[in-house]
Amino acid sequence: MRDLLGMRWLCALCVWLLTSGIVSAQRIDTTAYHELSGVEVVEKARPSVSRVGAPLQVMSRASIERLGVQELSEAVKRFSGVTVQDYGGIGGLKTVSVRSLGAKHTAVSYDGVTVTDAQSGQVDISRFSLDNVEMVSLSIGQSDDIFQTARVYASAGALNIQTGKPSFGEKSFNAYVKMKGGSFGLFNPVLHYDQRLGKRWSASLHGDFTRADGRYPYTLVNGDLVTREKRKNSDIQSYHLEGNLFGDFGKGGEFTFKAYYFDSERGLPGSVRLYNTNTSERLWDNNFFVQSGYTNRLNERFTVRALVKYNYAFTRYLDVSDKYAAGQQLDLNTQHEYYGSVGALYTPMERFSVALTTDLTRSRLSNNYVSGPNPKRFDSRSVLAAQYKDSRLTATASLLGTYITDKVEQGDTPADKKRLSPAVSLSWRPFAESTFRVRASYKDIIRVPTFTDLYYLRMGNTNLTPEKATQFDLGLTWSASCGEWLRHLDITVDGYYNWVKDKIVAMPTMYIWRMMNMGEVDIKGADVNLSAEFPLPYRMGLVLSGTYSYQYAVDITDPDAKNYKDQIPYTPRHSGTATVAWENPWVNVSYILTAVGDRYALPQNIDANRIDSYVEQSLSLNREFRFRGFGLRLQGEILNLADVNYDVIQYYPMPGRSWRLSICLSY
Amino acid sequence: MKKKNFIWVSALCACLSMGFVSCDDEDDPVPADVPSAVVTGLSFTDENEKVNTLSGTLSWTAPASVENVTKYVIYASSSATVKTEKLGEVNVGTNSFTLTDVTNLGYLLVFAANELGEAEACASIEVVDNEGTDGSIFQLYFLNSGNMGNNNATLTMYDPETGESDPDYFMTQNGRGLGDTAQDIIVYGEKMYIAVYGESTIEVTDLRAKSIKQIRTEGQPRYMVADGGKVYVTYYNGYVARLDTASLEVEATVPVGRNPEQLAVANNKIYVANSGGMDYSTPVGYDKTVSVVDISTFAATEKIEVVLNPTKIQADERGNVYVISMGNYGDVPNTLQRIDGQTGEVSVLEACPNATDMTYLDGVLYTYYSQWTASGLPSTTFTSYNTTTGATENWIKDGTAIAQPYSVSATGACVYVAESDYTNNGDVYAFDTDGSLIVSIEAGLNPMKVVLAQKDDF
Repeated sequence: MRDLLGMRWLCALCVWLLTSGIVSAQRIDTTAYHELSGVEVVEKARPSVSRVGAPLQVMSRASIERLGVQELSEAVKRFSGVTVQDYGGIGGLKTVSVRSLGAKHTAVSYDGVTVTDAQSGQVDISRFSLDNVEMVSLSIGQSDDIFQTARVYASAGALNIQTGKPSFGEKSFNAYVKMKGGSFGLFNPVLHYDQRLGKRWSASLHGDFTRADGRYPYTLVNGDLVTREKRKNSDIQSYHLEGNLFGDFGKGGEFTFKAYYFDSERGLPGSVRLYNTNTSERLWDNNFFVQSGYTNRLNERFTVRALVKYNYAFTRYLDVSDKYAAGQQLDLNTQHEYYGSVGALYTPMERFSVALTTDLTRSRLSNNYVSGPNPKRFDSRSVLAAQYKDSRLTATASLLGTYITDKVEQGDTPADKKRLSPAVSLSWRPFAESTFRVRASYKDIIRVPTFTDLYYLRMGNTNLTPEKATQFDLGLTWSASCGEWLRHLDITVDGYYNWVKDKIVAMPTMYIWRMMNMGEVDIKGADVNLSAEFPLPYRMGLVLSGTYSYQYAVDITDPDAKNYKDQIPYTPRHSGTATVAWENPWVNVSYILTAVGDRYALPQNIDANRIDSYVEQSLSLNREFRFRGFGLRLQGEILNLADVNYDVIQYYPMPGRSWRLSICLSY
Repeated sequence: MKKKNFIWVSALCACLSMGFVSCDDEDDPVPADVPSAVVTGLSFTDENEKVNTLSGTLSWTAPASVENVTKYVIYASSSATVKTEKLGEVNVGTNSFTLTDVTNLGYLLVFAANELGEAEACASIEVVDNEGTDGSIFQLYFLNSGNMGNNNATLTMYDPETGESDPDYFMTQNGRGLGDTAQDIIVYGEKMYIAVYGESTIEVTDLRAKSIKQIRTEGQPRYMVADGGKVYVTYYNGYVARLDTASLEVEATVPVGRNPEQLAVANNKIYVANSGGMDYSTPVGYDKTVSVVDISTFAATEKIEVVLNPTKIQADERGNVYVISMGNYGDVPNTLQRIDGQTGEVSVLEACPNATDMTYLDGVLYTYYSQWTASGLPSTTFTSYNTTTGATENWIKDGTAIAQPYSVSATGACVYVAESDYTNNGDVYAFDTDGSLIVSIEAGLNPMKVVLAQKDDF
């Protein structure tokens, strides 16, 4: 007995050392999560991350609560192979780049429908809170889910945000109210209500409000001068309202409807300058969309799905300065998008299925510039995908066809864009008695020039062709359950090679910048994920996880350039995370560590451009109480525990040590 | 790099294992405290003639009581109290320390110490750098604007005699940076003036780039010209400011056109190019005027209409003023014009109608032209214009190819073309007036201008 206990600790220690030794941390959870302290056991259908042919990482509601993460960006930072560009502060822009390909290669989908911005081509994830989110997942390359929209297929990596669908027990409604507060004037109340409407229908309403003054202190180092400063013009105020309607007609199919509204005003503090603290830029943005979906499994062989969406996005940028004739610069941009997707999944035999999906998008942009081109885009994408799946082998192949045509009111009309993009993936379990799997995938994908790339005043270039990215991945996965002392252990290791050519970059041509298909990037990397869950005595449990990412992403555009084979900006060679969650009947504790190696702010890898590595840690405590159908959850976090002064983007300092508290009352 | 990563990984491991380290709180036996004594009578004379390099003996008088002191620790520093760089230590009893070719940071510091640590207080001496007996200077400076938002404006110092250079000389000399987006540098008298647009500062230094004063300006400074003991500066919000070179105060400002850029002095007047560049996307559009400011009254007297978006301006000795208008990066190209010194008439310089940038040296305008065309990357031509004879020629005669010229400047008897791809550190190509390349030197990011700081003490 004594020996057994010793073995247990030894084993735990080994796993621990393994995780810490390779600077890693966490892949979030993999199998169903058994809630320890609660009454009910939560077991929701979740894709298996070890069985898929291309990397998939998932963070479930349980993990979100266990780790105490509050923002989507905090959740995404737990994934391997991801770089979150963070301009600091609550209102600071946050974008996701997967495997050094750049944020514009990452699709973000919200309940299955992609969130798009035809103007900038990238999605700011800072606006998404995790309050009503059930699951966040990131798939890289060719996904195993063949029944997806073509727009999700049309990206190198897809970040999927899945909000919760209400489930009712005895009651006909659920509700919760949550109050969050924290450093730098953060105040964030949340209200959520679910209602059952008869046998087939249910609805939910969600609203939140966020405000923060964002005046956080930071340290400015200017040669030998080291001063403490405070961030200015970093405030934010935002509202988010969302309503959902769900219909389940059994054989008649499933219906969803969502209306989403987001409104914000924020200061843009800009980069910190050494002597000049003036900052006057502000941004308002306003987004409204409605989306609706219908899925019907007609019979054992046929499933059909239709999705529609209308999206309205408005931004207002204002810079007040007497250097403008009008005393200010005011940029107004309005985008409208109409989107529809229809698809069918056909399963002629048990192990084989085929899916065909077509997406049509109509988008237009108008702005207040003189002689603006006011472009309109018609975007058609279709994907044909086939999959074979048995208990040992999963093989998927797909072919995506893209056709895009633009119309402009003024200026040159760019040529239409057409492309066929193939992808294949394979997952194979070589030994019948082991969960060990080998996976391999290939994906060819393009990124279409955005409206900014094509039409932005002076800078835009209508001769642009799409940027091409090729992805290869080879990986191993193993998941095990080693008796009662180790509930599960998951390990995935992937090596990959990406190649980007005709990269769309801003090139200078005599005082003005032009977008050009000039860049070429060579990317080799590795991602490692580990997670282990140990039950402990006294109804306690320990969840350890770690990730490590290696990215060798070098510019190979011009052999004569001084930055030839230099690491591309803002891409660390090494980065990793480690997470420890200790669950117990008293107060759950989680500790998160993020480590990011040296990066360069500019393309040339010289000392003057280097941004130092950092280690950021946070600690979260939570406790949940239940009485007579009511739930009360208290949560507190300390972020940047060691008060490390660091930048993700050079001269956009990140906040030092800060705290957050939340209280959530649910019924 | 490797080593660094190793350290980083180790630190991480240490950090992670923290939880497993049991905590022993057994303290070591406490000896006496760190010393509180301070040495006195610091003296040092720099014995070498190299600029910014110290050699010689630092000596001091021991404190009254050396009980508790076992050694003295010597630092070089940029301030009288902060330790910057440790130079070494000597045992108590020795009251001197020899410096050999130590970089001068401004101060030398001596701390009394024992095995527990160094005293809080120290003795310090401000060092007088021996810069050579003749005091002469012959140094080239490249002002690099850097990238907006990265606080990486730098001053490259190049010594033509030794061929040595310092990529961040302002930092070396002052222990602080220039900041965000340097725009212009001029040498006038025994001072240099550096306009830093992003910071709204003008850094005034001596000819060795040692800061004399940092002037915070009301508007964001662009370009400067000096005349009669004054430095005239354009502010991007539409003013010309007059800076007195003795008091180093801005005495007066005068409104000119929108977003003024370069300025030139001719006919006892200042000619200011009003670009209106900030309104390129609004209905107001670019400005297209040159403002004339009378030097004696410091009042704007007239506006001369030129081609759209004037930015560059030069004057010859006969009062003619040359203006480059950048046009609209569309149907109006970069255009070189002349404002006649006598009649004030504006005409496109037919012999050399297009230029992107220019500099003036001994009666000759050295220009280059590199216009974006829809068909692809621009081709570049280097044309000189003799302001007396009107003759033009390709002024680079030895076939030196410069694909992406960024600026051209003239100083001493040479013409300098700076090249930049906006991505990497640029290069400066020095040509003699016969059009032959003398040397090319690496500069910083986006080299704006080359100046020569020269002082002969014979």
